[in-house]
Amino acid sequence: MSRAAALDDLVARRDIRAVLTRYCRALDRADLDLMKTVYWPDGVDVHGIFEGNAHEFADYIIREIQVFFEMGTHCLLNCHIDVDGDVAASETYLYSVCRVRPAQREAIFGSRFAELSGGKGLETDRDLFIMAGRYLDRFQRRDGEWRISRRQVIHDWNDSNASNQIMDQGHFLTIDTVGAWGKSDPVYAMGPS
Amino acid sequence: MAVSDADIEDLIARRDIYEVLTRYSRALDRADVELMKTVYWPDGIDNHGVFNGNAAEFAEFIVREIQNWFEVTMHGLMNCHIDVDGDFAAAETYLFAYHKVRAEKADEIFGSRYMAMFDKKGLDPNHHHFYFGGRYLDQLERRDGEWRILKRQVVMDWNDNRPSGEILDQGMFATLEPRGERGHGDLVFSNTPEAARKLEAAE
Repeated sequence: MSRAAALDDLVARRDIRAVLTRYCRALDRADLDLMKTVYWPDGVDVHGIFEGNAHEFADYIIREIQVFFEMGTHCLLNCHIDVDGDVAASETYLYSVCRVRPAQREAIFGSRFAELSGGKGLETDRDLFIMAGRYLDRFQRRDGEWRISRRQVIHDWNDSNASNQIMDQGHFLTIDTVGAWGKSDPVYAMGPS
Repeated sequence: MAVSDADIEDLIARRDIYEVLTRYSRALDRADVELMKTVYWPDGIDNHGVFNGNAAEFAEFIVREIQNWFEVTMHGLMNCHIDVDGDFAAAETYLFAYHKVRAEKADEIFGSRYMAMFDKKGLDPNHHHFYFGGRYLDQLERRDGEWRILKRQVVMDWNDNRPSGEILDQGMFATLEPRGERGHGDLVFSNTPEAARKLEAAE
């Protein structure tokens, strides 16, 4: 690879990674406008729970995630990217932890979990949903900007547990800044200083 | 497409900033206070909940206390979203932290409600695991070409606490050595480019 091609590849990887982390910020803060900047308008998301146009997926998931979960974190691990000119493919490992609202227990986990473990933790009104898998993405660069043209979510494993979160005793009393849906989360106050 | 000088500058800034972030985890998990102080500017601030104030004082506090509270910690970094603007930058870094709580500190760390429900309930009856999911919101500054943290805010998204299911002496786990440790005895400190060079010379 020539020096110029190597530099172009590095910049492409930087931009693609920023799209991937922007998706998680958008989802975990329920920021619909931000999520739409991740996909091309004609992009597709095959997400299991929703398959179709990516901007319609954004409308759907930003509404529903706040109904399903009190809080969600979508953590990205390994990110393997192959760039070829104006297109790229990436595989990104996902480890997601979400706190399920009690009204959604049956819808999210089904009856077996609801009977065996639901609400049986330190917290009776929340359960913990862990899903691990991979985002398989195809990217296109248009006018110098990289966005997702197709996303496929792969499910590798999940785990479901009663929640033992503590907020009001022990060391946890010192925790004074908690994440939130929407613009009240402290990440929005942060911009470059 | 031609890559601009600004892009190259930006790539180098991101490399340096990411290295500061991972250096913090190494310093904390290996309890290396001198290394941790290289992560912040001397006038830096850390708002960590358990300690809010000058970052060098935070480093002294946390490297001492983390050893009192926990036998083992692992502060794993995940998503890292960085915005660079000249000599300043902002970074949001997702954190997944594991803590093995010392038996004698369990009451203090977890409080009475947890202990009433879970004391002595694990496979390892004396230990409990505390998991923390959150984010580091960092503001960084470049001074004389070096990036360090000017202000850190820790945000909690969730925590979870469990009786320990750790196994060290049976099954497959009996074969898993070495284990990580605090201090410069951990193998990370001897895993250097120099060691790689010696390995090549020996072949």
